[in-house]
Amino acid sequence: MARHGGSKKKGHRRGKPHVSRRAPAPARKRSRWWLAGIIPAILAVGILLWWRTAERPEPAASPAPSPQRASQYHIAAVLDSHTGQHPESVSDIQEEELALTEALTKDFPGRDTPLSLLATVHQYRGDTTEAEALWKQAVALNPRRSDLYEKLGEAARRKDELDEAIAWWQKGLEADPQAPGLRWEIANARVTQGQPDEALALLQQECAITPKAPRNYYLLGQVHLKQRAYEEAQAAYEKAIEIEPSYYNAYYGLGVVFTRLRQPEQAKAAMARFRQLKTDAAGSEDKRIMIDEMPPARRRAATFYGQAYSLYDPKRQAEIGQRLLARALELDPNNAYTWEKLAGHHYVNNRHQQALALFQKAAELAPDNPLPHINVGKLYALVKQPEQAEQALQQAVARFPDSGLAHSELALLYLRSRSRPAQALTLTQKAVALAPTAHHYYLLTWAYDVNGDLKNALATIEKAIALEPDNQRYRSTYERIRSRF
Amino acid sequence: MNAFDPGSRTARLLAGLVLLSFPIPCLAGPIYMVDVTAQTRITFRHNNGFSGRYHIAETVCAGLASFDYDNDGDIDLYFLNSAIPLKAANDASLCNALYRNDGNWRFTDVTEGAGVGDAGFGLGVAVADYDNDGDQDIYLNNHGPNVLYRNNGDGTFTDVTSTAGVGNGDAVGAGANFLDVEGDGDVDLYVSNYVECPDVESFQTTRAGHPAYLGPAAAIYENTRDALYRNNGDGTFTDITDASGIGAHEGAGMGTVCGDIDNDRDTDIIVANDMTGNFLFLNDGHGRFEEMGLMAAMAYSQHGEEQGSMGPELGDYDNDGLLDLYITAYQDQLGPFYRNLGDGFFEDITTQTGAGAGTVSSVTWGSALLDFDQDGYRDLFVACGHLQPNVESYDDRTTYNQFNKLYHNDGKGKFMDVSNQSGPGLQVKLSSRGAAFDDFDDDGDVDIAILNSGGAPTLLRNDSPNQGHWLQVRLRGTKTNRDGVGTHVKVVAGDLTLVSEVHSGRGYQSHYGTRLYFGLGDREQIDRIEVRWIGGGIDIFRAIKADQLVTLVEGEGKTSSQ
Repeated sequence: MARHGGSKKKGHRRGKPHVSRRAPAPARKRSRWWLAGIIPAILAVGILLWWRTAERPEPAASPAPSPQRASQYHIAAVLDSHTGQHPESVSDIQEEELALTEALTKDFPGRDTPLSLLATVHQYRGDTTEAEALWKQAVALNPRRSDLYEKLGEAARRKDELDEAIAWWQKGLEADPQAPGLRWEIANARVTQGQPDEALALLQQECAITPKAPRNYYLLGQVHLKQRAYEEAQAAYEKAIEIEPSYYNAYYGLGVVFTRLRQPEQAKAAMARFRQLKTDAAGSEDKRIMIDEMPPARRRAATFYGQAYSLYDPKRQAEIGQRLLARALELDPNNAYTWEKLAGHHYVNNRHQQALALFQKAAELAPDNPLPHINVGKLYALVKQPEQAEQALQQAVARFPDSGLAHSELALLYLRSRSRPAQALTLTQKAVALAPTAHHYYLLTWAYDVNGDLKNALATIEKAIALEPDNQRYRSTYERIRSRF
Repeated sequence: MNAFDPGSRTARLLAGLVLLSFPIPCLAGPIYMVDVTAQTRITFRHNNGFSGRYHIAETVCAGLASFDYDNDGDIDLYFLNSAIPLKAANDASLCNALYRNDGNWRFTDVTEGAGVGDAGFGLGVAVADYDNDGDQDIYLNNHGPNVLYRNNGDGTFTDVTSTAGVGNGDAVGAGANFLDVEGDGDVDLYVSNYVECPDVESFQTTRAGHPAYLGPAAAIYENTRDALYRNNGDGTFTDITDASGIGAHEGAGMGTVCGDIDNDRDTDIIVANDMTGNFLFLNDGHGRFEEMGLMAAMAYSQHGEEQGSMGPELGDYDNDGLLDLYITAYQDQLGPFYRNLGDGFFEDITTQTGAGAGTVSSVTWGSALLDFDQDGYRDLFVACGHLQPNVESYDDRTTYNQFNKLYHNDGKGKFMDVSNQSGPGLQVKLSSRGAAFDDFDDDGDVDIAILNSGGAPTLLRNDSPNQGHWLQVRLRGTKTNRDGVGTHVKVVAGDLTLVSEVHSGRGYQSHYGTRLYFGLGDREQIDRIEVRWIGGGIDIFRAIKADQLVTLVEGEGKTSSQ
C-alpha cells in the first residue's frame, strides 16, 4: 500500500483543467490526513442527523429559550398532562395538538415555525381561516420561507380561489426563485383555469429545477393533450413513466393520447396498464382509514411532536427534547423516523450505546431506509466495535447497492482504520458512480492516495473542488497532493 | 287571473319595476330566475330518513320527476320522499307526493287520489309510457323494493310491480331509465344500484373527530351491479342483466342517462359511479352492451382518478350534432364535462369551457344542459349541497346548504358563471339533490324544480330578459315507443342546427324533459325538423313557425328511408 502523501513534486501540471483562479489555501502537513478523515466523518453523521431534524431557516433575531429548567417551558406543562395518556378520540388528539403547538408559540415567541405548526393544526381541524391568518403571521416574520407561501397558496386553492393561490405562489417564487414545486403549482392552476398555454413555460422551468419529478412531465403531457399536440403529450407522459414506472395517471394520459391518435391497440395496452397500476395502488388500508380516523390522527400528532423536537436545542434542552420524542413514540410506536430522531438525540448527547440501540430499532422498522442501517455501522465504530461496524456497513452495502452513502461510509471506515485500501478504492469509486458529490470525490481522492495513485488523486480532488469551489479542505488537499508530485 | 295574482304577467312586470328601482346586479345577467315556491302551494317536505345509523342512502336522496301525468298538457311534479318506510307507511307527509299543475304556478297535491304515495325510501325515478297506452307510468328506484306504477289514464295509478317483475330485490337504488334497448317499440328498464350494505347497527365514521357518513369506497360497502329488464310487451319484464352484458360490471351507480352516444341509432347507457369508474355501455343495437367507459375516456377525471360521480346529463353544448356529457361530483372535484368526439370517444373539456367553475367546495347533484335564454346555445345549471349535515364543524371552506350554480353558454365554447347575476332564484341556499327542468308555466322557456334534502323543494320561474325564439317538441310514437324515448330530433333554422333526444331518467336520479326544448335566437322559422325514431324510420317536418309547442307524430312527416 502506497504511503499517504508520497510525492512531494510541486507545481501545477500542464494540461490539467484549471480548477479555480482564486489562490488555493495554504497546504497542511501530511500528518493531518487523519483529521481530514475524521472531520468529514463527524460532519457526515452530523449532516445525517441534521438532515433528519432540520427545520427551515429562522431569523437570526429569534433566540431559542434560555437553558433553564425544563419545567419552565410551556411545553413542559403539555407534556406533563399528556405523557402516558391514551387519547380516546380524534378530538382528544386534536386538543393535544392544539395545546402542543400553542405552547410552542409561547416558548418561541416571534418565530415562524411554531406559528406555521399551529396553522397546520388549525387546518386539520377544518379552520382554514385561522390557519391562513397564522401562516400570514409566520411569513411576515420570515419572508424567505417559500414553503409558507406554498401553504397559503394551497389553502386558497382548496377554497377554489385560484387567482389568490397563484398570487401566493408567485410571492413564494419572489422569496426563493428556485423553490421547487411552486411553478408546478401555478402551472397546474393555470391548466385548471383553462389556460394551458401559460402553463407551458412554467413547467419547462420547473423541469430544470426538479428534473426528476415525474409530475412535471405528467402535467406537461396534460398541457400538450389539451393543446392537441399529441406527439408531445406522448413524449411527456413517457418521460414521467420512465422516471416513475408506476405512475398510473401518466398511463391514463398515454391511453387517451393513443385514442386520439387512433392507435387502438396501444390505447388498450396503456389503459390496461393504467388499470392494473391503479388497482395495485389502491390498498385496503385506505379503506380502513376511512372508517377509523384514530390511527392516522395518532400518526399525525406524533409528527407534530417530532417537529416540535426540532425547535429545541437537543443538548441544552435535552430533557424536553427527549420527552417530546418519547410522547411521539407513545402515539405512534412504530414510526421509524421518530426512533431515528431519538437515536440522534442520544448521539448528540454522547449516549452512543443508547443511540446505537435506537438506530437498530429504526433499522428494524424501516428495512428499506438505508440511513438507520448506515448509522448503526457508524455508531458501532464510535463505540469502538470495529468488527461490528464493518459488518453493519457491509450489510448496508449489500442491502442498498444503489446507496452511494452506504458505500462511502464503509470506505471511510477502511480509510480511517488504514485497512483494506483496495476495497476502500472500489467502494469510493462506486460511491462516486452512484452519487457524484464533492464529498465522495474527496473520499475517492483519499482512496487513490492511500493506494499510491497520486495522478488520479489529483484529478479527483479537482472534481471535488469544481463542485465546491469554496471548500478550503479540498483546496488544501489539492495543494498537498500536488506538492508531492 | 288578475293583476295582483303573483303569477300574472302584470304582477311580474310590477315586480320587475320594483326590482329595477334598486341597483340589484342580478338584472345584469342573460338569465333570470325567480323563486316562486311560496306561491305554488306545494307543501311537500323531503325527509331524508335520518336514522342515526348514518346509512349512506340518507345522504344521497332523492330525485324528482316532471311529466304530464294527466295528459292535460301541462307539466306536473312528483317528489320522492326518503323517510324510514315504517314511519312513512303511517304518515302521508313522509310519502312521495304528486302535484298536479293547475296553471299560474299553482299546484295541487293529488297523491292520495292518484295512488302514488309510495312509502318506500325513495332515491331515483323514471317516467315513460311502458305499456304504450297513451299515458306516462312511473318507476321508483328505492332503497328497498322498487315500484312500478301503471297510469290508468284517469288520474290514478296502479302498483303493478309484482306483475311486471321489476321489484329489483332489496337493493339500495339510484337512477333509473326507460329506454328501448333493441328498438322493438316498447321501452325497457335500466335500474342502477348503488352499493351493498351489511346489516349493521351503525355506519358512522368521523371526520376530524366529528360524526360523519362514510363514502361508498369504505370497506363496509361493496360495489354492486345494475339490472336491465326487457319489456315483454305484455305488461311483464324479463331480467336480462346477464344476457345483455350489463351484469358483468360492478360499480356504485348513482345517476344514469341513456342516449345515442356513438350516433349509431341505438340507445347507449351512461352510469355515473360514485368513486368507481363511470360506465359507458355501448349498445350493439340488439340489446347487447359493451362497457367502454375507460376507452372512451369518460370513466375517470382527466387525471385518471375516480370521481364521486353523481348525476350525468347529455346535451349538445357546441351544436355539432353530438351529445356532450356533464357529470356532477363530490367536493374538491370539478365535475367533468366531456365533449363527444362522435365515434364513442370523449374529450375532457372541463377547464377549457369553465363548466362547473367555482364548485370545487361544493357537492354537485342534479344538472341540466338546456338553453335557458333561448339564444341557441345550451347553458348549464348545477344543483349544489353538501351531504355531511355538520360539515361546517370540521371544514370552514364549505357549508351543508349551498347556492346552486348557473352558467351561460357564450356560444364560443365557454360557460360563464352568471349565478350572481341571475336573480333571486340563484340566491336560494339549501342542500339540493335532484333537479327537473321543464316549462311549468307554458310560456316557452325552461323553468326549474329542485328537490332539497330534508326540506321544501324550490321552484324557479324563468324570467330571463331578451329571450330568443323557441320551439318545444312533443313526440308521439305510433310504431315505436309512444313517448319517443330515445328519439333523436334535429332542428334546422337557418344557420342553426340543434339536436336533442328524449331521455327518460336523467341527471341526478330524476326525470324531466319528455318535451324537447330548442332555443332559436332571432330565428322565427324552423326550416326542417328531422325526427329519427328509435327503432323506426325518420320523419321530416318542414316550415314550422317558432314560439310554439308542436306534437310530432310518427309517420306524419315526410318519411325518409334512412
